[in-house]
Amino acid sequence: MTPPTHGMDSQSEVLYFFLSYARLAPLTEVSATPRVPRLLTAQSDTGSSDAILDPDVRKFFDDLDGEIARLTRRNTASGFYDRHIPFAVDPCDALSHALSRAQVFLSLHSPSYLRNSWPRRERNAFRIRMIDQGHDPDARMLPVLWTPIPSWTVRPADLRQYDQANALALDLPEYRENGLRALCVLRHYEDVYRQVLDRIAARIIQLVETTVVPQSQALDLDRLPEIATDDPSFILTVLTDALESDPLSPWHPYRGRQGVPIADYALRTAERFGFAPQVVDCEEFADRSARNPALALVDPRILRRGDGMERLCRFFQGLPVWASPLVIGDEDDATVDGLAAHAQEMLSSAPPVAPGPSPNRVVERVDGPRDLEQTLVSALTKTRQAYLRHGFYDCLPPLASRPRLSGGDSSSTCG
Amino acid sequence: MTIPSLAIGKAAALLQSVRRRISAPAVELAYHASLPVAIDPDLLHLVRVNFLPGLPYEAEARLLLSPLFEDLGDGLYEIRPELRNLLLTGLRDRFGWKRVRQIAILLEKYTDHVAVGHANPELEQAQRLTALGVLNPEAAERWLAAAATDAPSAPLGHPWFVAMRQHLASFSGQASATTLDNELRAAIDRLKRAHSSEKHSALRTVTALAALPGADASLAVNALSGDAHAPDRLIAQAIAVNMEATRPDADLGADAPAFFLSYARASDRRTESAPEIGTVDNPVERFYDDLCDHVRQLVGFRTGTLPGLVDLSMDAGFEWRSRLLYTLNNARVFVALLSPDYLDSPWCRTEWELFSRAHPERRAGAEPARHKAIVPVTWIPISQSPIPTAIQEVQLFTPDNRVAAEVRRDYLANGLYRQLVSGSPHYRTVVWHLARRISDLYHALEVSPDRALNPDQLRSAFVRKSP
Repeated sequence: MTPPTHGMDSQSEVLYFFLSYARLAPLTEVSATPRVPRLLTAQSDTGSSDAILDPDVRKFFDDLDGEIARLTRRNTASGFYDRHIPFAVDPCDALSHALSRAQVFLSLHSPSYLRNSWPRRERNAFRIRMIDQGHDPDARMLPVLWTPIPSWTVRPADLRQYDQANALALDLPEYRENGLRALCVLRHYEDVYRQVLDRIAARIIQLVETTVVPQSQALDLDRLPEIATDDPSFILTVLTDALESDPLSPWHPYRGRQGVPIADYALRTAERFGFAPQVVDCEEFADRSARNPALALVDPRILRRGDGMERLCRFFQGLPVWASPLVIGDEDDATVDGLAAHAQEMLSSAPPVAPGPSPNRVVERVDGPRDLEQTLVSALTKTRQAYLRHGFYDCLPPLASRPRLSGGDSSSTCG
Repeated sequence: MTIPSLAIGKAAALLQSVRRRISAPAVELAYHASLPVAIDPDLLHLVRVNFLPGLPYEAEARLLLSPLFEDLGDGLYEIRPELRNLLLTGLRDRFGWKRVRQIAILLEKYTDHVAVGHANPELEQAQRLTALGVLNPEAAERWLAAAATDAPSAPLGHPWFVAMRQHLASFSGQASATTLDNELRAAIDRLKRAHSSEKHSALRTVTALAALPGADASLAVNALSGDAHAPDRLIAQAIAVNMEATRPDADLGADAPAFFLSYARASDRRTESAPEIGTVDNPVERFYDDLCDHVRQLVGFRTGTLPGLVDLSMDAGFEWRSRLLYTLNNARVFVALLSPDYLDSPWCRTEWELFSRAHPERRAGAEPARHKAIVPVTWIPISQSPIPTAIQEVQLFTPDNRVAAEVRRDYLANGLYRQLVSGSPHYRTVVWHLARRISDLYHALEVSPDRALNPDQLRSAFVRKSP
């Protein structure tokens, strides 16, 4: 089936629904997929790699899209979600554009969905559009219970949508008890899943056939009123020439092939995947990495200059092991692999700054714009896991132990 | 009296622009820093340690380098003028007039402290007058009038007096009707009257004001939610989300694992010094991954957080004991994979005993937990007897009665291990229901710090139990 197009020439095609959901990177390592020469891989026109997309969401989307196509006899995709973000387009722009065209906002409610800020941006962008065009947004929003949510954890502002999500299939207790995700993936619930899927498809088609809301100017998701609920907890920085880092760095390694400067791209991607990120300068990065997962996007040019490699190593040597460099390479630059490997080797051989085992710091690399999102999400996930593994537990205050004057063995304490 | 709408709009835009750079507590520090005419890092440090000691030290530098301040050179920073009144209002609303007076006293003492050899008499006098304006407004007015009369002989020019009169007037405004709530009401009113081209700017003002510490955001929620079709309902929803997010008990997605998975290897020879690595039991790992995938969806963990812990994921190294101790103390659910080997494993018995001592309790306001926090799962059916009393006392996990009888029968007869390795279609259903049980308990239980284990208990337990 042909994916929906991004350009303005697609106005004549009705985009039946926009699928909004909480993006969760895979728990297991994304980059376990072996790297193969680019020439040997099929080049896709879409951005988000299947490796970082939730397979259950993908199955549900495909099932629903197919059902709507079958009922409406369309041969193009009727819905939009991350897999349809065109390559070389800023994902934020692509999502904003889809939200300016979509007829129905289909949201997969789960604890993560209600918690993360990015889905709320999407939801608010759609609401503003409906309101500006004189439509009742609630009538065009179709919340689905993706996973069960304890009612007493739902915030008042989300209660209405929570009730609507439950009301979708009040007569099907399996849906209310398990949520649609379980029905989608467990063969045991296949019949109930089909019933709910049919209802969603029918509801979307009915709404579109009743009224088509015209496309409107795209609302920039990144400029919507700030409603972040979490203080930043993932620190990002950009290391360019001379290791002078600017949080608003305009460094744009893939200009013309990918939408925005690397710092903006990383910030938005991290937020989409629920990391509560913040871009800071390198001094603040060094200060705050002791208490936060921290990832530095490194311009490979600094590794080629004089003592650049040594300076990079000195910079990281004083930082906790989870603070990691991600070298931003390019497809036509075959030297980046060697540079990243050399940096890895130097960082691993540097003497530890603290007693005790010194686990290796991982130096990841991006091979080019096509590889950027997947490798970035993988690096973000690994960095946070390394922080939780090596930092979080050891940074905790002692639990029930008390200070001792006798100076007994305290090597095993958490503090 | 309210702050002019243009100024409040600029202030809101500034606050909006720094929202990702500074946290709500750092905004409270900005409140405190808004009283002095200018501030240097030493004074800001004193303000923090005296009034907001819970803030990390780096908040000082982050705040001074944020767009809320202008760098005057010579280590001096000034709050952006368009923000000052709003922040002063926030200071008084959030912390009360007494706190304003306390900062004024600190400012006066600090000015005395650094005044010797001070090269900037205008600033020194301005700081003293600011403190006096708060502590004794009438005396400040009298001093200003007298000094103005003597101006030709004083090192203070006419612009200084104009500026200080405005500065003192802002304090008298502080004592009158200027409150965050009034500003919020005025902003809501402007939003309701705004044309569509002004709507986004007006929305930003309302959200920034409602998000300020000390503002009564419910004013905005109630005012904007009244009309079912009002465009402003969106912003009411956003504000309500912010309000709820600051609840002290809003702990969705905490970093502590939800469950600890205790299992026995076929030949369990783990010792206290180092858990085995590199000999992964694949079925356990596969089951653990499947369970984690479900639990993180159900609980809502942030990306990268492991929802459960098992020693499969513990590296060799000094920190494994810390991690085990932390997990036993903080995981709300203990999942035991029962098998004949499990009953024979001193290591597993110790884990069970340790977790029992740090038993979680039911959270206030939560629905009653139907089951205890220890969830024994039939991994391989146990036919031998006797089963240890501690295990007999805890109800074995079985999918509830709403699950098809054939699924339950298959699980009870064969156990999860055989379901997994034989490719039984019922395996995933059972794991899903187990994940739901863990999620229910996670939401209903909380760990009690009073019962936390200490490292000595952990060490002595393993020394005693190790073969």
